[in-house]
Amino acid sequence: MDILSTHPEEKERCYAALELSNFPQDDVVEYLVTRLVEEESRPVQEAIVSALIAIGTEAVVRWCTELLRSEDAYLRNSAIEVLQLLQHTSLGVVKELLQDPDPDMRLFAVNVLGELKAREAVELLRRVVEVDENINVVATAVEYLGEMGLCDEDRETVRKAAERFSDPFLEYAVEVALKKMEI
Amino acid sequence: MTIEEFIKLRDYIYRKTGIYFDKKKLYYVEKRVEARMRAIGVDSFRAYFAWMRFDTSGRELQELLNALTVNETYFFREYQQLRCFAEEVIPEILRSKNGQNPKKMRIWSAGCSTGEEAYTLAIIMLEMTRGLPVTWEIHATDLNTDVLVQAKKGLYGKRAIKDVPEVYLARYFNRVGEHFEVCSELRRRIFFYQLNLLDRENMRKMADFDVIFCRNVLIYFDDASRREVALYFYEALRKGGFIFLGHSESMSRITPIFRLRKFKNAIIYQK
Repeated sequence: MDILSTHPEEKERCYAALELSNFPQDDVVEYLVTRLVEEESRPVQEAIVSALIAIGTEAVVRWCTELLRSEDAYLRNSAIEVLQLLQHTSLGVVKELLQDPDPDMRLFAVNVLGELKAREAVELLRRVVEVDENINVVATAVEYLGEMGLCDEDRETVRKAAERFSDPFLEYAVEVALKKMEI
Repeated sequence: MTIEEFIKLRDYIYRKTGIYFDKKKLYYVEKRVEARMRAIGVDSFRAYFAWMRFDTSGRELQELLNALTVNETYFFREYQQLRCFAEEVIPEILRSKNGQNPKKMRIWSAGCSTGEEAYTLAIIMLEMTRGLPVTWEIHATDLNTDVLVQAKKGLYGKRAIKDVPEVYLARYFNRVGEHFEVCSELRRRIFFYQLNLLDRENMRKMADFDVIFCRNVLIYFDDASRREVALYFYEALRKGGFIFLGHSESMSRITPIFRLRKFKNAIIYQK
């Protein structure tokens, strides 16, 4: 851990971060996330993100959810990437995020769900389309449903979205999604 | 496969990998998708797409990508990139080493398969540095020991040499029956050895390279591994070093740490 915090050589810090992927304990995860926020070298940050993906525990998911609220776009994008790659481990936390009062957080959650390979993700996206009040969140969920939706229920949900909002952008998204779902 | 089915699949593959299939490739993609459908026993595109999309192991997407990106390797493949290497990158690297005498260049062909790329690079280096105070070496690595045995033999059929200019064919190859053997001068300039690009300890030893060629190799890795290998490459390069990927690959989709450099003949990533 000392090497990652203090070594002057970027390469040494990179490899130190990657080595820590062999230690999946929660305190290591917390330390890596702290370093990710404080580290100034992008390659070392990327090594830390790789280590977090490799560890892939519930703790990683929790910490990455916190990073979604960061002001730093790199940290937010990295958190989304980790959550997307961790698939099932992310599902529970992402489900909670869908209830967040901040529409940006819900949009992040939809972007994570849309990249998951779990069928539960489709159900959650359907729910977003049915109940979320934010048009951008709904439109993004509609786009993903177009790709992932398979059953009549999915099609019906997408169709109804256009009725909830009167907006040309959403109408177009619904039209494209329905076309894709027919295939 | 209908055009709508093609677009649905094409858009998904593009989003996941950055590999883009033009509409003109419909027939090409269709044939490979049909083969994959037969392999897993489904009879509709709809069923196949769902199978691939929700396959948590990611194996089916990988199988499809393997089928779509069959790696036929031959000398002077992706000519414009090689031209960029020869006419733009090598001179820039040599200019950056003005304090050195002789100037030393280290090149790595990562995932070298049967050696065509490594020998091509050796030909280019010989041609571009002839008479200059430059020394260079090429490291060529692959995971597969069978292909390395073939690479070291340096014996190739007609298909592999189809794009070699006549003058180089005469200069660097000996005809052996139906085959073409690379000359000893090329062979002794290349170090072929086995290397797993995900072997952290051994990757750490790879250092001080000016250029890495890793074309159409990273597409066979999953997202997490691809990120890790890209980091190893970054650390293996000298400051200002270049990495060449296949023309359909994008380093920006893997990691933001490399700079994109636009040359006359190609776009290359730089440390």
